[in-house]
Amino acid sequence: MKFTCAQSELNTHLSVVSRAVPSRPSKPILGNVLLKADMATQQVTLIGFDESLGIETSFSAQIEQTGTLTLPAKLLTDIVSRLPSEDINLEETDSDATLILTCSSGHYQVRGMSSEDFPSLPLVKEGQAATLSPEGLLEGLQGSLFATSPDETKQVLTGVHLIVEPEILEFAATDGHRLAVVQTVDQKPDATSEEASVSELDVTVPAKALRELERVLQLHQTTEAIALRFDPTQVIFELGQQRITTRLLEGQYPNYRQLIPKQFERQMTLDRKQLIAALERIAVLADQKNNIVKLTLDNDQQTLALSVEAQEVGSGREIIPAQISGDNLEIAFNVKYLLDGLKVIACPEVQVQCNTATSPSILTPLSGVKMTYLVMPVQIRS
Amino acid sequence: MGGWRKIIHIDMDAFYASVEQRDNPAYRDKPIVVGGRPEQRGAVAAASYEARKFGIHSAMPARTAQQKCSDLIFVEPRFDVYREVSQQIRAIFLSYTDLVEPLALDEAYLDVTQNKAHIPSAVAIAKVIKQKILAATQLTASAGVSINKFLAKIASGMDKPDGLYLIAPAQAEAFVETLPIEKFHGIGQVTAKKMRALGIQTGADLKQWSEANLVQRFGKVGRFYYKVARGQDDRPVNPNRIRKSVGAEHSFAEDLTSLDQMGVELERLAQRVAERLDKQKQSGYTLTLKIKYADYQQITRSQTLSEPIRDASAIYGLAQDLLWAHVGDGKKVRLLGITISQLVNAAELQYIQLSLTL
Repeated sequence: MKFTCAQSELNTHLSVVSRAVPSRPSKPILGNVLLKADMATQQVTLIGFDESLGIETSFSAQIEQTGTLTLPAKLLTDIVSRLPSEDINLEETDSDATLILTCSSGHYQVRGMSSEDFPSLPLVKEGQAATLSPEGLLEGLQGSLFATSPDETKQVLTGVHLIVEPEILEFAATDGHRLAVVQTVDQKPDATSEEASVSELDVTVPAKALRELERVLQLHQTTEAIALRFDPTQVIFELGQQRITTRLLEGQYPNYRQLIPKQFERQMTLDRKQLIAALERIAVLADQKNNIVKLTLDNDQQTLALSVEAQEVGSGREIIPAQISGDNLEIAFNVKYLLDGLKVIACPEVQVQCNTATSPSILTPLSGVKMTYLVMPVQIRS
Repeated sequence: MGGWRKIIHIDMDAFYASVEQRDNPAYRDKPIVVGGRPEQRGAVAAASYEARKFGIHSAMPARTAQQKCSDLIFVEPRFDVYREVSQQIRAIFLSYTDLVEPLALDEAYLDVTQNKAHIPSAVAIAKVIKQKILAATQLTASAGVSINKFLAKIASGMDKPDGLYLIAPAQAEAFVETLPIEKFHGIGQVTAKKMRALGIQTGADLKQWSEANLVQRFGKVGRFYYKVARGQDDRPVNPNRIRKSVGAEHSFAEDLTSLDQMGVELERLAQRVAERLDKQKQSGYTLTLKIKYADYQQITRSQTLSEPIRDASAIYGLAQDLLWAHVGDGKKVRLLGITISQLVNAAELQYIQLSLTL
């Protein structure tokens, strides 16, 4: 293997794939990235794989000799990221799986391992396929990922549930206390006939893989459609030169649609930024104790009062204008849950609907993305 | 010894039985059990080493014990005396460290990483404690010394009676690897059987399992298994151990045959549990009903609620629901028990993050 490429290019792509390299690999070779140079295509391909999540990315380089080698991911990334921003030369030695990096400042030898034992990324041969627009995908991910459960023992709740129906793409995530559902209408930029016919898809994808997908989407700001291939155990996202594969989460995803109330006794409309700003100030004190903010809906004054009582620390109260219908109500929430949702609802006005102080409330944007964010309140007892 | 904790587990040898043998020369070197008598359908609370040779162990029905050894002597327990001895040994522990976590009258964990005697060797401390216990009570104890509670507890069982066993930090992992699965404290018979069915015979086998898989298979306790398979256990020695559950049970002198009778007993049990909860200012999310039939077959059925319960009528109501739903038709019942677990302090009740019913 021998090739020359820009340091910045190699660095960027290395940092993408190294996110799939486990910090404590179950076998040594998984701590490596696979480096593949192909003379025929003049492309360098990098792969990182932790046996569940796999990331593959390719870029153009001047390839003089075809070859494959695996190298310690962290070591290689740390070296390459510090090299001067210029063309660098990479060459495999003839004998012992060692890579020599040469640049104007000097040269480095890094001992690698043969690629034979590196597991190949799973393929989906006889699965189904769908294409998604990058905007729709990103919107859905941003509106749902935050609500997944970080608790590994919660199995399916650590992932985002994805439903693809003709023209509609639905993302749902819940950690048991809140539920975020985003529906994006899928405008495929390029609906080629063969593959575009969307078969219905209903899978739960680990949040970890989707966070990488989100990162890659943000990084590349592509307008190209993203292809999605899946079978009952794997899903593969293909975005131009990048491929992300992940094992799917097994198990029945909760029937969340039935959790969303259809009718509400109370409703208010608020300026989103104003609400966020007030909640963030309240959160400073709420943070000190139990993260609880108390909301008081006052129909007569058409205001919402936000208050916090952090025992032995302090207290705070703010009042903001709100268009309120329905009776007055006191209801408490985990302030973090409210802020998480409000931050991804990208529209000027937000609607909050509730029934009672102990039943689910929902937050929805008044324009833009179609999103439903359901939050369970905190019950206060004396 | 960089950074390792020094934990001792002290376990009195055949405690109740040894106290009885100490105080009554006629019992010495004889197979005796302390507990209920066979005709009262009692159970063995403790068996002397002589009785253990016949395969008799604690929690065994007294009748079964008698069948195993016809010369067996049944002794009524004298809890006042045991409590007194327990106080004596606790005083000895406290002269070395304040970090004493009693598990029962006859066993405790001690954290001697820092100790009042400024003795760096935990083994040396364990040795002195054993000597002092013997001098003060004429009873022997076994001590296990290691870097955490899990290993110390296993160690104390390695060399019984009158034992002293050290699992050094460097040996910990290798030691656990060779340990048969049922020797793991916290893995009971049922779980051990389940694990054997999955091909897990030893600590080494257990270690092959990822945390996520263990949790999927065994629930939350899978995390604990994952850690202890690596000889790790970061639970601190807690001198104010908080109770995990509050309960009451009763063996009836005569088997219960009707639901009405059982209802009356459940109400009594519920009352007792509620009183205990009240005393500790606690309430709990989970109620477990235990039913033991006349043939000693036992079932437990639990229900977890969205809000904690504490008062007798709520406990009774739920226990009765469980009873009606699960008690075998026409089966005679010899024991009923109610336990409330997943406890919360009454003060914490003020704020409850509500959950979705997924």
